[in-house]
Amino acid sequence: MRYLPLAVAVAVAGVACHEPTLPPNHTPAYAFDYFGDVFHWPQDRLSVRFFADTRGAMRTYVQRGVNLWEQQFLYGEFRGVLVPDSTHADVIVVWADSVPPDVPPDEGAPIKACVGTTTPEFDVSGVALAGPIHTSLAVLMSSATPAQLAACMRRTVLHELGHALGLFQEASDSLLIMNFTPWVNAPADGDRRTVEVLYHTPPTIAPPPR
Amino acid sequence: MKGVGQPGRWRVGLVCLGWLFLSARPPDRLSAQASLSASLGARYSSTLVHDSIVSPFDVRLGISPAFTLAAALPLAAPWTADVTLDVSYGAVARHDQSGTVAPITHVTILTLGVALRRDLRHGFSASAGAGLLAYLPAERIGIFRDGGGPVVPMGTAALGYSPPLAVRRGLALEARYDLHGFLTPALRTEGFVNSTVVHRVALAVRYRLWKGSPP
Repeated sequence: MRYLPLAVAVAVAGVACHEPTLPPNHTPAYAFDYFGDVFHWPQDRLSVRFFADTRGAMRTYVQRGVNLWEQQFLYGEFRGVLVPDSTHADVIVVWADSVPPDVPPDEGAPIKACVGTTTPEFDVSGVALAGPIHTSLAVLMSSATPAQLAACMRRTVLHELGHALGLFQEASDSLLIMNFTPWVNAPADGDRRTVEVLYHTPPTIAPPPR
Repeated sequence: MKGVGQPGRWRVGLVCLGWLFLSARPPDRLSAQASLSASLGARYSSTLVHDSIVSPFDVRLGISPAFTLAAALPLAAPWTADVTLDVSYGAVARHDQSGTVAPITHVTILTLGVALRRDLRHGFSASAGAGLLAYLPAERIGIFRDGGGPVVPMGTAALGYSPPLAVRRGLALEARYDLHGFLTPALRTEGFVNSTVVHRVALAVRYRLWKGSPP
């Protein structure tokens, strides 16, 4: 009884002296700068506000994309929220022309049935965005089935949201969502490492005024 | 899948055990000697995660309120066995070297412990013990995106002081220290292998809620 507290203290000290935590690999898989400049949404602009075209399945695709990108971060670097009004949005995602049918996406082999475009507009200084980032999605292959088209749109929205987060370059690895043509359904480890490094790199491009 | 389910069951078990301990009616002979006390104070926790992406940063829990319920059962003098249920709640945030603080989420930390206390001279007492600890995040995000991790063992030590005037009122000052290993499933996925040893220090005022009358 007399020596029990001492025994507990020794056991506790033993736990305290084990090997310290090793930092993991944070090497980015691809470049993310825009001709040498870096953009990401700063801490004081979170949550980033996304507006999704109210037609078709766009809202579902954007919500899924925001959730998946949020999940790539461990340390509170990014948060996004869907807003109902495009005039109060930081990122606006719309259909470029026709609205594909809202059907469950095909889970088979991916085909390039659609295309996306994300355009950051700079102000006259050239080091700040002038307004919201605009993203548009268009049908590329009208012969694709509605389910194949839906799968392509789902992937491409996720890819374009990566650009809207500041990943301005394309990856060469086809297993990454930021490949020039996205073939996968979710960000991979290389995407996660790259966007993590981006959000810890001091930006040289300021966000648009609110 | 197995790894996700088990911590949940452990946490539920921990809470149930705690409530059993608090609500169970002790045998008459024991209840005549046992006492129940509550303490409220503030707790500091050391760094939960240290990482470096471009530049080093820490993830820390701010100073948080700590509430403890303790049942004490006198053993052979001057020893007492304590069973404690401790809850603290705080904000987890990333602290960059530049001074930027990025909130991640809030977390409740629940511990159930047993300790052996010895009364010392001049109103002091000292105790040491062990227990189980669980992190219950408010939302599944960031380092807690795959949950708070398993229930982990912890070690604890405390020093109490009850000034002569406060003894009658059942009041005491208490400094508590404990340590445990911290590693969430999300951090493991990220590539962390070993848990961080987290040291916690709490300063609290303890108040005796109830004391059994001598037989």
